[in-house]
Amino acid sequence: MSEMHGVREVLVAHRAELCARYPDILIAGWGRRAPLLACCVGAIGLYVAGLVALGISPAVITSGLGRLIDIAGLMLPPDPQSWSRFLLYLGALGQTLAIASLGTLLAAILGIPFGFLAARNVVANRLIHFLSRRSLDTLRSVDTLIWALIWINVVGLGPFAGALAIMSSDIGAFGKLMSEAIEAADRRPVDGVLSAAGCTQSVSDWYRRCCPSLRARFSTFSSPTRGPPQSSGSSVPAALAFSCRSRSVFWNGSRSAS
Amino acid sequence: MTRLVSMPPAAQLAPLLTAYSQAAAAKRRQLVLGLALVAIALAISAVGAEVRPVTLWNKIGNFTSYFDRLLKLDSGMRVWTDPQEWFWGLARWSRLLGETALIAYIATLTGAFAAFICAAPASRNLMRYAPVRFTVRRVLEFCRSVPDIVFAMIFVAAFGLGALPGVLAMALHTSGALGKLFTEVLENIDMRPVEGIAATGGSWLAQVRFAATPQVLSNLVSYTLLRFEVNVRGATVIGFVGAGGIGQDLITAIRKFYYSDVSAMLLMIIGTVMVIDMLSGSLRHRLLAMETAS
Repeated sequence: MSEMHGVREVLVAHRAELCARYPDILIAGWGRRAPLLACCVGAIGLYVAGLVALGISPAVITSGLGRLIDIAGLMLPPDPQSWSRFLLYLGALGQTLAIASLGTLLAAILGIPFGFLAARNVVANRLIHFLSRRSLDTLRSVDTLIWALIWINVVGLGPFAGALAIMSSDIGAFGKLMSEAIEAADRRPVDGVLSAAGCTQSVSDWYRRCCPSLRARFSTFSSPTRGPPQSSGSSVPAALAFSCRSRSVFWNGSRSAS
Repeated sequence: MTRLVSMPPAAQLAPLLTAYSQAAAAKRRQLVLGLALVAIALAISAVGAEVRPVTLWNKIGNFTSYFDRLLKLDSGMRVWTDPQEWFWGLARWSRLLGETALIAYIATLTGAFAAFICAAPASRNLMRYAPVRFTVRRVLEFCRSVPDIVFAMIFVAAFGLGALPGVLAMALHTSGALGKLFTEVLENIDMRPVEGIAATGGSWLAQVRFAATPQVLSNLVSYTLLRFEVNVRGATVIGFVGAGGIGQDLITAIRKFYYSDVSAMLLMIIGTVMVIDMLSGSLRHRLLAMETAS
């Protein structure tokens, strides 16, 4: 322990000398830090301005907090009141899971062709690439809840509309992820096969050869169980948590690959 | 094309070939088994989700006709013939969209800050006391597992209508979601700088601040930006339960069948989300490039 303190004391004692030797590391360069500092100040400024614009103040929060505690107290011990109602909730929970898994699976299957259409190294046509990317963005930017309201008009109230809604918005998410995964896929296997066999490159050939490296990534997006089960009546999806999760998986994968 | 690969004699080749075909067959069996399991799960889910393909097939016309109605004005004209009538509420909707983006921004920043504070005590390599780690992790799990719109419903009852419940709900959910990601990032750091700071007598806070944080900062910012994209999308519907943003107007328009209003608002939402996605995407890529360069 005394040795450890020794290091610190030595460092402190030779501060001036060390600073002279490593000015880049030890002396804060305000010129270098200015852009970062400006960004931070801007971000915090926007934050405060936003709080003011939205009318959020500590007083409002504290006054609501009391009511929140009251509400939480009413919720607390969790009590389904009767056995039959508990079973009802359990059934609804199962239904939620069914909606989530069906919607995700359908989206994953339907997202594959979209992913290939939107990958730059599969479809070289600029226009098709642009259009497919933008249509995926459009599917994605309409929230699942809005899709659910649209599908209710088609198939009526019920869990089926929920599954279709999850499918609709997730096709966009999966398509984007898959197209990026395809673009990041290793080209060397393709080159290897081409140079050995010398056959022409078509989309289907390409798919077959890329498949081994892509399959693992695709399955990581779609296999983890979706977010937590929720109230099935409104069929609110856990797309937010899930999409964030799947994206992060992809993101790490692509980083290590690149 | 001439064969460049030299072939071993048949006697040597035969056991290799049988072994190969056996391995291939085993793999194929596994694939078939996996597909069968997925099919069974799909069938169970289809029953659970009350899938009615016949209804879908018969009523798919409603889907196209819904979009057809979305693109018609009250007068029966197509929307693009009279943009002024179509976007009659442009000023109001723009203000509400700005509010939506602001809700997402404030919630993301607040949530990221909370997640950052919780991440170090929740990560296995930085926090030695298991009870602290356990508690923080369970709290983050709770925040993550309740969707923000459910939090918003509860908060609307407590804080009243407005942006505040939306911001709080989203911040809470974001802190849970980001807290997990941040923790995972922190658990993968190089521990040598941490040991270095510890060796010079640095406190736990100094270890986290000067050894752990610099390693992960760009990752944290990148995850936060990703979450911001998700939250902007979520903020457009958080108004469905009265928690601020454009959602309130949108749900009213959908429920009252003001078709042209719905399409106008949807277009504005899609445009905003796309622009924000692109901006944050390019920012993220630049961050990544910066990280790989250094």
